Amino acid sequence: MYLHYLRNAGRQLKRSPFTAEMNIVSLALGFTCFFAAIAVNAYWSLSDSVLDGSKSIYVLTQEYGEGSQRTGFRPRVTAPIARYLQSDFPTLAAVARVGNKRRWTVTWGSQKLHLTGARADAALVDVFDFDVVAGNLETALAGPDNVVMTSRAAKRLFGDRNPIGLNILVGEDFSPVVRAVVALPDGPTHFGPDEEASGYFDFLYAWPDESGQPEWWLSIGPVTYVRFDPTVSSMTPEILRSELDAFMARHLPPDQANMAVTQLDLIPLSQLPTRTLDLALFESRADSLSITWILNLLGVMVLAVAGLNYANLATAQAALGIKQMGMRKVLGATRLQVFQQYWVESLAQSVVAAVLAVCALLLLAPAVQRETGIDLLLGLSERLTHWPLFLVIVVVVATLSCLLPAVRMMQIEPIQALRHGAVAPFSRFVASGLVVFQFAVTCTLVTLLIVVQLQNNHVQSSALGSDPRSLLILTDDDSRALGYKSIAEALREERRVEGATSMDFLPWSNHENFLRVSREETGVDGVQQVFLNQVGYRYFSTFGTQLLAGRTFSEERGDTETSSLSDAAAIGDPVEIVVDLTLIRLLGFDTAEDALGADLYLSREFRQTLDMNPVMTIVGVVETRPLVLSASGTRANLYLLNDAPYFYPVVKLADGGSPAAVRAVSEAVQSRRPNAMVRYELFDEAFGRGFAPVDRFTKAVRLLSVLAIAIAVLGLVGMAIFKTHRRRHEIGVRKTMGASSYQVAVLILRDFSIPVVAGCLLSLPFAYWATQAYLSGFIDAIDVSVLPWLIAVVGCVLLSWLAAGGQAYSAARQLPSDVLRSE
Amino acid sequence: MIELDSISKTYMTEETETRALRDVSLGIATGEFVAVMGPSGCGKSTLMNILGMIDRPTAGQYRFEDNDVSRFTEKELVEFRKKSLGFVFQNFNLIDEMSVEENIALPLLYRGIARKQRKSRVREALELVGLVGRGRHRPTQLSGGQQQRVAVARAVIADPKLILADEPTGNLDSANGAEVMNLLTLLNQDGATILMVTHSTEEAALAGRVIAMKDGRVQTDRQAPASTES
Repeated sequence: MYLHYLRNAGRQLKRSPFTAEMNIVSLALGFTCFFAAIAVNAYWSLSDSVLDGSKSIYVLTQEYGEGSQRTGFRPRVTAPIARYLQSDFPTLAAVARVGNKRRWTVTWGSQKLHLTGARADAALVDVFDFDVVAGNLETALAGPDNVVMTSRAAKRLFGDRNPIGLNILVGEDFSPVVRAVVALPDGPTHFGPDEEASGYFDFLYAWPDESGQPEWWLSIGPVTYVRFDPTVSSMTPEILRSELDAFMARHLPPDQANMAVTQLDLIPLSQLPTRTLDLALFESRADSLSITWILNLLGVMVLAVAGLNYANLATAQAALGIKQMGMRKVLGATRLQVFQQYWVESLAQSVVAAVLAVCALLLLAPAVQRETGIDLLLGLSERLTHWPLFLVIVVVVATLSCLLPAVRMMQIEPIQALRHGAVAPFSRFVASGLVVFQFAVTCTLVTLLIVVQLQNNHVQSSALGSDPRSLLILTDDDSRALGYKSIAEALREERRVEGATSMDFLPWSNHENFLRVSREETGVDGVQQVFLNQVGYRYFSTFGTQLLAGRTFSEERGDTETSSLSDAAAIGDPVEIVVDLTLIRLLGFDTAEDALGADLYLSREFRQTLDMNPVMTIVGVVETRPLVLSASGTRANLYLLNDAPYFYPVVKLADGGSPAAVRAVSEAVQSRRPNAMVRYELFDEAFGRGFAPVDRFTKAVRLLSVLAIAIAVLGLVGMAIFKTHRRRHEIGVRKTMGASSYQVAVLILRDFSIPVVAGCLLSLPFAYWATQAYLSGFIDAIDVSVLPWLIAVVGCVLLSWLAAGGQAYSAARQLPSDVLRSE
Repeated sequence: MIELDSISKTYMTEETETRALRDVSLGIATGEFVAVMGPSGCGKSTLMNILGMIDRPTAGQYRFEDNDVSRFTEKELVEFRKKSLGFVFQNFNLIDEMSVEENIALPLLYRGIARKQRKSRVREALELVGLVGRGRHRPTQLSGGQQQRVAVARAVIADPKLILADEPTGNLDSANGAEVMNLLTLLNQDGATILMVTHSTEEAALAGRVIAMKDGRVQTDRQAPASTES
């Protein structure tokens, strides 16, 4: 019997090849999106599975803040935790930290490289079963002058020479000996192979002894790994998780506990890459919003559009085949057999679509890997458990897609079918209802796409300014040690350079330095959280930040540079600060001018913990120009003149960042430090690095939206064919009665527009929610009006006209005699 | 075999009520060839549909071999129809995408008959209607008369107790119509019970009994005079 159904499906394909092809293509597109979402998630979940014992390894996460100002659970916890954790829970197999990761200039003989180095606890070798290529890993991280190097970095630095025992120079004054070389696995791990991976390192050196040092629990610290060993201890992640609140209560110093609420949690190592990405995209909302969840949702939405498309066309087809179905019933087909026939047909098309989707993924995989580093094939193939899931999904989609026509045909009486022939067995609202849902989803995605694009354009234009390639940020140790003033001095005669300044963090990377300030001397009421930006002279002119009131810091005026806020406080005089417009508004000033001369105070908790009470006087107000993308609820900025070493020098190039100007800056640094290996980022490159996760997310939304639109349009084309075919008689009669071709075309297009517009109207609340959810993570979000949604509506209607236009035109052009004769 | 007792059928729409059958009572014995005649709208097809169990009467009792069919559930009706009835329609109602063999085999397929048995019975049916060698053709490749013979083959293949033919020659020219009528006559002579709706007095004359209907009622019910052709 099933063979008969299958043959029937083949006949259906022959009878309406265009419809069947559209069904298959749209389902294939839907499956491609859905499978891709699953493959990406599978790839991420595979992370670190190549490391031995990875399932026993967890990472501690920590959250700070309260109310809406929360950081989200970040996989980097404050440094003292590891030590207390090991002593409080001796049954843990191992606890180890990796932190202070940075790029170093590493020299060996005449060979000089930029390598990524990080501190690590000696117990790291108990957490990870590294593959030791050479040396003794057990003792390598025990000594302060040792390093462990990856085989890839060793090869780059030493060539084929045995590196064990060789002395290298790290930065200016650290001269350790290579004690061990480890080979990291090729598969996806948080250690790499991509340098952007959260745990990437070229070499590790010992964590210095911190006993006796003051403990600061409210800062972002190292990645802290915990390994469990169920074979020797009953300690499990669940037990440890349940103990973490009490652990914090035991160890968090009371004065720091007053400053902010902080909590610990634990995630499996395999979740580390997605958690990192979630934090980059959604910040504090990463606990409720996850890229894996969103990817799956988008995949399901596109698949739903494809399924609705199928249901719509299958319903239309069923209307044409109703007489045949009546005859089958007369000949003895039971309801179940009727359902089976539709189901097998739907299943056959779904299976073909799924196979095409897998082929598409195979073809797309290399490009996806090139663009994103994500190996879709690995995600698909390594997790064989997903294949049964795929099959189940194919069956479910096939079943849901055929449900409407199949159930209706099951119910229809043979006498009705034989009497009514090709008259639709469905209310016209059924087909229209499906189009409504289809376009509700499509319009939501298109609106989101427009808003995402507008927000991205806004971020890029407001963040980058008019000439982003004229700003050069020096990131190497030599340049940072030298300081921007010395560099500016060395470049004094260089006409291709306009000037230099400095800043205390790398733009578009994590900015963790914040204060809580108030206009009240008590520091209790009206407290606002702000980013503390420690900048050099000419910071605002270098970045082109507009001054709205007052003045900025001036060398000529003799504004005092300090090395920290506490130094400024110690001097005793009020500290001069510049603030941005956002802070002015948050603090309740009516205008920028009103804020000039006003004093700000640290919140009471900050004052107590930091043991200082500086008075900060506002001398200038500038436009809000954040150099971070997301902010954990912090949106305002406070600027302090500061000349501390190791800030990042920023050089303003006069000629739009020509290679010659960049070379001149390098030479200027090397004129002061001959061995310096200058490393830099142009401002737009730095932005590109920080913006990459958002950019990838945007690309994914764009791709999925375009596919959803394509599927919906395909569906409309199919519906247009069916509907105009069914209305041929009516059109013939109308034309005989005097209707013009134009009137007929308008009639058809109007009928198609109504459900499309209804779907778009239905999308409004969903589009609003989706865009607000997306924008709330940006520190500088656009104000969304109804315009993007209106554009999406107009776009959807125009697309529907495009889809139905061809059929409307041919129907309008047909001769009434042709139609009525054939009737 | 069949007993109809005061069968009525009323079609209701929002505005009108059409009484297609009014208190129709009649009986059909096994092996009879009954022709139902009457003008358009007299209720012939409605009577046929009710007898064929593809429509339900509004009132009255329909007994088929002592079973009260009017009380059957949908599922029982399907099962009963499947094993008891064969249909021939004026417009053939063949499925164009299927071959002649597949069309004929369709009732067997729904009865769950094995493939091998289906094949041999289809071969026999093709022989019966004189279409051996046309089994792999599509209905659209055949003449109207041939298509109706395929429909007859499909109607008889499952050995139904009653064959219902709704104007089986209505779409055929006289030569093809005669072929189909010969076929039905032969089937009746072999023992099949046939009820045929027709407008043609000549064709009605081939049946043993003629029921004339008017305005939803049986006007006359008499044995047919001997046909000149037969």
